[in-house]
Amino acid sequence: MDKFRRQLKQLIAYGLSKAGESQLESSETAEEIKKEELPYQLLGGFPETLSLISQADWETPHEEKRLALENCLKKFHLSSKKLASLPSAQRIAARLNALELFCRCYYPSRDIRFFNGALWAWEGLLSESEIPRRLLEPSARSLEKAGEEFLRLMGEKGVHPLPGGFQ
Amino acid sequence: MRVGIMVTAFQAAEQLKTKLEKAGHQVVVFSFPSPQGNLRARLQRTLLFYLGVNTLWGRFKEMAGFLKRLKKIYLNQPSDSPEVGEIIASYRLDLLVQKVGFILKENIIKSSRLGVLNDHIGELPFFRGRCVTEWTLLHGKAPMSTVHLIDRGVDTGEILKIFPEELKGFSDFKTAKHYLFSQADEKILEVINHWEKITPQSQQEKQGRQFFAIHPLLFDYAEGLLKQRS
Repeated sequence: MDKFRRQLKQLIAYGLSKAGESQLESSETAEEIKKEELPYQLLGGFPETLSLISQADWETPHEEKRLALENCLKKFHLSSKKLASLPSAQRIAARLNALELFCRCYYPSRDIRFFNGALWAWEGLLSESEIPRRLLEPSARSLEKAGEEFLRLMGEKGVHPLPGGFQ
Repeated sequence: MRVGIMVTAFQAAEQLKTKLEKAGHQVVVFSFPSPQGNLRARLQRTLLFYLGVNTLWGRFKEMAGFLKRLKKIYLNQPSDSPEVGEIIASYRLDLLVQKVGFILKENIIKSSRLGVLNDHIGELPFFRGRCVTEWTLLHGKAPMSTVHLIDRGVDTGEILKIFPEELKGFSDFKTAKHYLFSQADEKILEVINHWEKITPQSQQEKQGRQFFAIHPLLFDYAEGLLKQRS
């Protein structure tokens, strides 16, 4: 996982260097960030998945989903509207961060939903990528390897993806 | 019982309406605006259906304003408007059955005496949300369907009955799900017919999880598991 994270950070740094920025920060304050604007572009490329998040009647979102979104807010301080106005390299960097976030959630929890989210994020990243594919591929392999490991554990060792298992 | 069926086109309710009426229930069908269409489009679609299957005489009866007498109600207001809730409530229904593709709001959820029924093609409380058949197989669990009451959450309402699903002989999820959806009316009918014997079970949020659209990579893996069941 550390190796994967390092690779991601390298890619983020690459993306930022292309944009001539040292950090993915904006002058936008937290107060200006509207929650309903958040999900789509920020987490990148999986609108079908995240359209559920924005539905108005989800007033009490799932705890983990809420935490993940709050982490995104804290991390990026960036609304989706703002994101859309950024140069492509920064958008890619934001998506890489989102991917890392999903993976970070996935590993300790072994919750396949986070792996699913990471896959969608990865796809969104590739669809807009200006980063040479050879730089992205190591991360792709890590992601696939993580998925294979997960499925292997589920199938062969009976590791249950839901902590506590089914009742 | 007095039962309301909510659809976006009348023909979607025909089968269940007939079965419920044969079983002695009174049925009212409510047609809502489709999220993808307006009233005119719905009227055209419904009329085309009846033109296709009814005799000329039957068509005349439909077009002569008999819809209301047949307890088929067009609702053109937004589904979350208080007016819609009031219209449905005015029919003093015991139960509603949802066959619409949008999330229901409080105005409808509380418009009948006992609540709104939904057929969910996954085992609740464990598999809520989307692509639950795929997620079920991916987790190595047996396919099930659940008839439950709708509340404000997504698939979090009281469980009425869980139905085991054989789901063998399918090579893809499209046909497997088509089969599951085609069985929905029978399950709803069974629950309504045996309502007095059913004890609704409330769900604990932590018992299950909300699932989302499955990525193609995982979908393919799950479809492989589906084929293995054949």
